[in-house]
Amino acid sequence: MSIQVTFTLRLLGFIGVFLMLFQGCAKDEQIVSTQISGPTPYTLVIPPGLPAMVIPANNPMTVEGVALGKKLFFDPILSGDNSISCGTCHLQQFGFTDSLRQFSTGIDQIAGNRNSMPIMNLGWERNFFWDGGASNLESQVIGPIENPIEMHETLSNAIAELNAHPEYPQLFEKAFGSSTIITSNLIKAIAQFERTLISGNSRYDKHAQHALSLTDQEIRGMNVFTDFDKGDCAHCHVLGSTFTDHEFRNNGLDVVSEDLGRGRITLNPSDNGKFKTPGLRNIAVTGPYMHDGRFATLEQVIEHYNNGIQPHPNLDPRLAEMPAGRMSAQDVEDIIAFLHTLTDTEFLTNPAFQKP
Amino acid sequence: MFRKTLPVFFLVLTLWSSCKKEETPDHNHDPISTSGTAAIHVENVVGTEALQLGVMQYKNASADSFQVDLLKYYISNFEWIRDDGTSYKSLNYQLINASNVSSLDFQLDQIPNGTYTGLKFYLGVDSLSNHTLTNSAALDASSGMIWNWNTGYIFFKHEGKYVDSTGVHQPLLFHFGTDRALAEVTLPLNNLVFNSNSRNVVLKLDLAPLYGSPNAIDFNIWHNNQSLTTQEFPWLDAMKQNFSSSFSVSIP
Ligand code: HEC
Ligand code: HEC
Repeated sequence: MSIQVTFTLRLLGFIGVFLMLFQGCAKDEQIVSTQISGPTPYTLVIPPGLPAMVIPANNPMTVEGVALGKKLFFDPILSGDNSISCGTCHLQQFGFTDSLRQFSTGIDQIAGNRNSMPIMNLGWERNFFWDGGASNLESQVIGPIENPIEMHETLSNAIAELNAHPEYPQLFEKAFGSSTIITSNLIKAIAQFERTLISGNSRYDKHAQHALSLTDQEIRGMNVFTDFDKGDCAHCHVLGSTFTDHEFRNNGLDVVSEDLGRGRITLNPSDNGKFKTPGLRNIAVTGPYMHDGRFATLEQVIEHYNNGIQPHPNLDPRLAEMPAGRMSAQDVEDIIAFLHTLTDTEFLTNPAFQKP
Repeated sequence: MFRKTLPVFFLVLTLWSSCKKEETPDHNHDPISTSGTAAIHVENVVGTEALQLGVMQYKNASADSFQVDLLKYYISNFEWIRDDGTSYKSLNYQLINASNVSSLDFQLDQIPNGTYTGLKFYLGVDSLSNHTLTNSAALDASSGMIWNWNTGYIFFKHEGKYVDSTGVHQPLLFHFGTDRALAEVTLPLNNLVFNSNSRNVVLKLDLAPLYGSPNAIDFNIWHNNQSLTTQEFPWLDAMKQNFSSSFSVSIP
């Protein structure tokens, strides 16, 4: 016993001496490492109704990265004439879509041919744009910057402007450890901010968590939404979570698709006229609807599903077999009441998502 | 007691001295080099002439006159092949820009000493890097070699003019890319020996076979081309095949 104690004591003594010496020789390194101490990890708070988010290994979320991404998102420096920012076409009160315009207008006042998309819950998406042409959230960022009908800026100009800016080099240094701004860090920062735009606290969610009860009409609407013989909306806009199956589908808008949608990307004719199934959270405020913004109201959207399905060659088989007029006027009113329960006021007004 | 502390004392001493050693690195203990370096120089030519930008002085196999105002392309993933079929891969991406001389010279190092009989590389960017724009260095998305609405790199860009069948100067544009377009090029090396040294290697791209051999590309048919739709597959496939006969390598 006593032998063990002395041994332990001696061992501790040796460890102490050893540590001192080790510290002595590592001192310089320690000072350096406190100086370049990396950015602070950012903890994403995921609401109960949504799954864990997979963050790409090459772009871990940090407090500094998210803050920088937010600043960039609202900064017109990324547009050709420094007149518009991402935030110009993606407004918080409209679920980060364009206000009420069918087609977003870029810096040259030319309207595009697609309706602005909501930026929310994108951390769970796999492809971006209506046709999924951008294969990750980081790569997506470059699209609007360079698009001649959007921000119409060359990336190299944008990078040069950022490098010459009085604040940005320092902010990139803090977020990514280098004050020389390169494209990959620009797009990583914006993607980090976008991943924080999470909506999961609507009345529907509170109902699902038994924190409140929806009205009878809203419950009836939810039933029509999931009813195989009526709405069957949940077939594609899965009930709960992100309200999408993350697939590309043709929902019968046209007999002939002018915009090839997914087919433009995969070059597979069976993908022509297919578009990304949009999530339906905050849908009451993200109009107009569909990739080309053809419907101004939710009434028109439901009328389309109830009576307007067109026989496109790639029409989703489920929609093809559903008879017209299957939803009554009451069903339509109920389903719209239900869709309004997906509005998340906290998300639409959260100051953390506003221009810094 | 003393017998027990003595070894520890020495251990501590060694640790202390070993950390001192790092401050003044001992060059005598450098490992003997077992690899060489290839200093690669790229030449862009049309037939026997060095490529000159902005002049209407070349002819393709279909006898269309053409000029080159911009020529940029990626070559990547070099692999040095030995006689016994084994090889060494130098992972790297190089963006060649005919108007930027510094892009025409680059080095690939750590090539293990030995004799090499083949060099393989790709015109383009492998699919692993081709589906994200978060890459840096040569693949930095700001180098003007991406499609931004359809994530991916433009592997090869030729912009210029050609003279159409009625004698009128028309714009000429080839933007060649997508996974389908990735073109493998394998060239013979005449027993290139690396022996802890640096060897010069000249890599030549000849635009004459690129538009002529084995497949003739008629500019009257193909002159405004982004290889992003199925309609573009004929010239894409033809040019992909031509790339393998358009490069050559020589050891000066
Ligand atoms: C001129 C208006 C405009 C500007 C400016 C703009 N966008 Fe968009 N955004 C759109 C439109 C329109 C779409 C749909 C485009 C499509 O599908 O082709 C879109 C789609 C997106 C998407 C895809 C969402 C999804 O679910 O797939 C993201 C993400 C996005 N934008 C982020 C940004 C960022 C980041 C910026 C700033 C760098 C930006 N946008 C600037 C109009 C704009
Ligand atoms: C077969 C799959 C499918 C079914 C079933 C379906 N949708 Fe859709 N929905 C889509 C697709 C795909 C789009 C986008 C189409 C486009 O823009 O071309 C869409 C778009 C929408 C939009 C517009 C979203 C926006 O951001 O512009 C709303 C609203 C909508 N659907 C509601 C419903 C409702 C309500 C039902 C049930 C009555 C329903 N959907 C059934 C696939 C489906």
